[in-house]
Amino acid sequence: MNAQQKAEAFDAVYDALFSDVFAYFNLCFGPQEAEDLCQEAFLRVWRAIDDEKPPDNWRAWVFRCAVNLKNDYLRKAYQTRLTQPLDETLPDESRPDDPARLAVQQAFSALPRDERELLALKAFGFRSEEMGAALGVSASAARTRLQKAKAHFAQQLDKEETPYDRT
Amino acid sequence: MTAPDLDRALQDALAAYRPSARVKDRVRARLRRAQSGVSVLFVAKDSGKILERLFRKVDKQFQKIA
Repeated sequence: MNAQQKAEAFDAVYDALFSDVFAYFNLCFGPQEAEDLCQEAFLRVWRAIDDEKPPDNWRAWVFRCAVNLKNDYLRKAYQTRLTQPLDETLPDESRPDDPARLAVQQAFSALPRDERELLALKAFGFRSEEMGAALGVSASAARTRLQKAKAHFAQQLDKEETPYDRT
Repeated sequence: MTAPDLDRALQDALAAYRPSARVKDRVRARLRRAQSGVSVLFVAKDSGKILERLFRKVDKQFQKIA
């Protein structure tokens, strides 16, 4: 693979996945850390493109990397205890938005980090088998946790009295 | 609440965590700088291997002569 082909292959992966990967790190740790961790995740993509056997499923591969990076970050944060409490990450409220959407975002940000993480993976299109593999649990455990997270999210939506149709 | 509504609510909630175009470009620029560093590192690593192989060959030749 020459340099131009490699750059094109990288750009295709970056354009397809950057938004989801950034959102994942952002909801775990906030926007500043999300930029740093995205840089590390996509540097790994850059190196992997050089491998003899690049991954078939870049989405699953990148999210496995992202989950590993998140775990490393949590370990370091626990060891150094220098970071802010991790559950204080809130969405960017400076963006103009309608009240209904803000209420939904408030409901989501009120969930514990691990539930937000699972719901995000679900929204990014992962099946329970893939979620389980990324998080290091069985598919059925991932399914159970996801159901719990969904129920919790629905409760929070009710609490925020969001105008979403419940029929 | 039915599943599609919850899915829609989830997509709305996640929209707040997605990056702006400026953030996307900024990270890409940081990556470009880092990628050039990675290439240099790989070249250096390969050069190291080549030199190591060369030294081994020279060393064998010296042993033969001795």
